[in-house]
Amino acid sequence: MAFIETKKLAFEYIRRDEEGNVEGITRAVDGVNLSVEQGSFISILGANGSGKSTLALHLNSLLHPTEGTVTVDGMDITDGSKSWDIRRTAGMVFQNPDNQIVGSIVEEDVAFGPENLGLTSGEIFKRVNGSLALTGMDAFKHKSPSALSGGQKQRLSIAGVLAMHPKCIIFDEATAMLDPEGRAEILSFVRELNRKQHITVIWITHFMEEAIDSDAVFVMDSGRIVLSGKPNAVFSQVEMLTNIGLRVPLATRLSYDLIKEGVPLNRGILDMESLAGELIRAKLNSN
Amino acid sequence: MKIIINHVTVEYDKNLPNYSKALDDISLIINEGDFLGIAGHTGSGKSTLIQLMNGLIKPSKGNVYFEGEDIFEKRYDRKTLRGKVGLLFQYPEYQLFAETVFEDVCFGPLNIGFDRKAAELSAYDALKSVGMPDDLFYQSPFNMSGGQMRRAALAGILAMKPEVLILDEPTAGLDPGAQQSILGIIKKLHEEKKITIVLVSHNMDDIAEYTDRMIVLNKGRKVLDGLTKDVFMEKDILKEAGLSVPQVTELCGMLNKKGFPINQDLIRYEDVKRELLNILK
Repeated sequence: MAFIETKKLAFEYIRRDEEGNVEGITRAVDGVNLSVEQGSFISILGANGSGKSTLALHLNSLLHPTEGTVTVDGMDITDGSKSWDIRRTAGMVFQNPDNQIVGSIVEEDVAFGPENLGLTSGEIFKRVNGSLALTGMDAFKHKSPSALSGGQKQRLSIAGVLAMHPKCIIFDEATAMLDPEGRAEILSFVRELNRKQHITVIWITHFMEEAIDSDAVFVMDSGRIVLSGKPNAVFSQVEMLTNIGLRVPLATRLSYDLIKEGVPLNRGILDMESLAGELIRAKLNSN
Repeated sequence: MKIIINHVTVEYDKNLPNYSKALDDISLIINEGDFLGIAGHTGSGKSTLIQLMNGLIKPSKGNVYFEGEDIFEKRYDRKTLRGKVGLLFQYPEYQLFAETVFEDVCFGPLNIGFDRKAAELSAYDALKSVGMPDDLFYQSPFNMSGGQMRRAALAGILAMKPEVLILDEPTAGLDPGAQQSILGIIKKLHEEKKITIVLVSHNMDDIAEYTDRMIVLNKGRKVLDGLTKDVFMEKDILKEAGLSVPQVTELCGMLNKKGFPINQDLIRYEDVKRELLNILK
C-alpha cells in the first residue's frame, strides 16, 4: 500500500438556502484515485473550484469522504481513534499564514503543536529549537509574528508543522499571497525539506511553474483528476490545460506556438533555458 | 497633466523608534490616457505612492496636484476626488459588505453624492463593463467565486465614474483564467472608456504586455521612469531594485549570449514569437 492512498474518493457539499432547505448538492471531489509514495514530491494543479483543497482536507482527516476511502500511512482517516496520529503524520500549511499563527511570540507559536501532543517540556524545547533552526527562523524566536514579512510568516507556519515531526506536509496554495521572491524562497526551502529530511510533500497550486520539478503532477478539474504523470508529459497538453483555466509556463507556451507554425522543436520544454537550447539547435539544423 | 506629484516625501512615525521614509523626494507626472505601470520590490513605497494620488496619505513634504489643484489645500474637496481617482486595493473582495452585489456597487456613488437613480444606473453600467452575469446582481457577494468577487469590487469603484483608476496587484491570489479576465477588463476600460490606468504589479510579464509607460521604485525613490520598452532595457538598475525583466526578454538575452542573433529590445510575447518565426522559417 502506498503511503497516501485514496480510492474512488468522492465528497459532496449540501447547499442550503436561508431557511435551511436543501438547494442542491455539489460534488466537489468526484471519484479520485491518488497514490503517493513516501518521500516523493507531488503537485496537484487545478483552477479555483476544481476540488483540490477539498481533496487536501481529506488527507489529514479534516473532512471525511462521502464515498470511497482514504488511508494515510496505513490509517483509515475515518477511524476517529487515529485522528491525532493522522494529523501528526500529515501536517498542513494553508494559503494565509495569518489564519494559522496562534502564538503572540514566534517560539510560543511553534510550541503549540508539540504542547498539544502532550510532550514533556524538555522535548518541546528541543523540537521548537530544532524547527526554528531548520526554517532559519532562530533569529526571530522572541519576536512577535506581526513583525514578520509574508515569507517569514509562512516559514513560521512550516516550523509549527515541523515541530510535530510529520512524515508528510500538504501545502495548500502556500505561496499564493507572497511576492515572486517570497514564493521562490518558500518553494526552494520546501524542496530542500523533501530532499534532506525525506518529508513527503503534496504541493497544491495553480502556478504551473511551481510544479516543474515534481516527481508527479496531478491535474484536477470539476472534482476529477483529468491528467497525471511526469511534469513534461502533463505540461505538453497545452490546449487542455488552458481550457480548464490553467496557464502553462511561458516557455512551454512559446515552444508549443512555434511548433504549431512548423518550427521543429522537441515537445515538453518547461523553462526558458531549455527553450533557448532547442532554438539554437533548430537554427543550426536549418542552416 | 492629470496628476502631478511634486517633490513628495512621506515619513512614517516621525520622532519614534520605528521611523521610516516610505517615499523620498518623488516627482511624477501622470498624463490623461496613460497606462502606467508601477514596479518595485515589497516595501519599496508603491502602496504609499498610490494612496497619495487620491489623498489617503498626506505628504510630509511636497505637493500633489489633480488637474492643477493642490489636493491637500484646506478647502479642496477630497471626497469628490476619491470618486475621480478610484483606488482598488489589494484583495478588495475583503471590503465587500452589502447583502447583494448590486447594493454593494451602489455604495460608492451614493457615498460621494449621486442620487439614488443615478447611482443605480451607474452601478448597472459598471457591473456590465466588468462582465458580471445578470443573474448574480441580486446574489450575496459572499456566494461567488474569487474571480467574481474581485470583479464586483472593481465594479464598486467604476460606479463612481473615475477618470483615473489605480489598481494595486489586481490579480493577486486569482487563478490564471481569472487573472487574464481581470487584465482584459482593465485593458478594455482604458481603450473604450478612456480611463487613465495606474497598475501596480509584481509580474513583469503583465507590466510588459499591458502598460505603455512604467516607473520603478527602490527604497522610496523613483529610479526609472519612461516607456516600458526602454525601462526594461535597464537591466542593472532593475536588478538593483530586486526586479527582473519579462521572461521573453530574458530568452532573447540568453539566445544572443549563445550566438543566436535576435533583437534585444523585445518585451512582448507576440513580438518575440514573430521575430523567432522570421528567423527560423
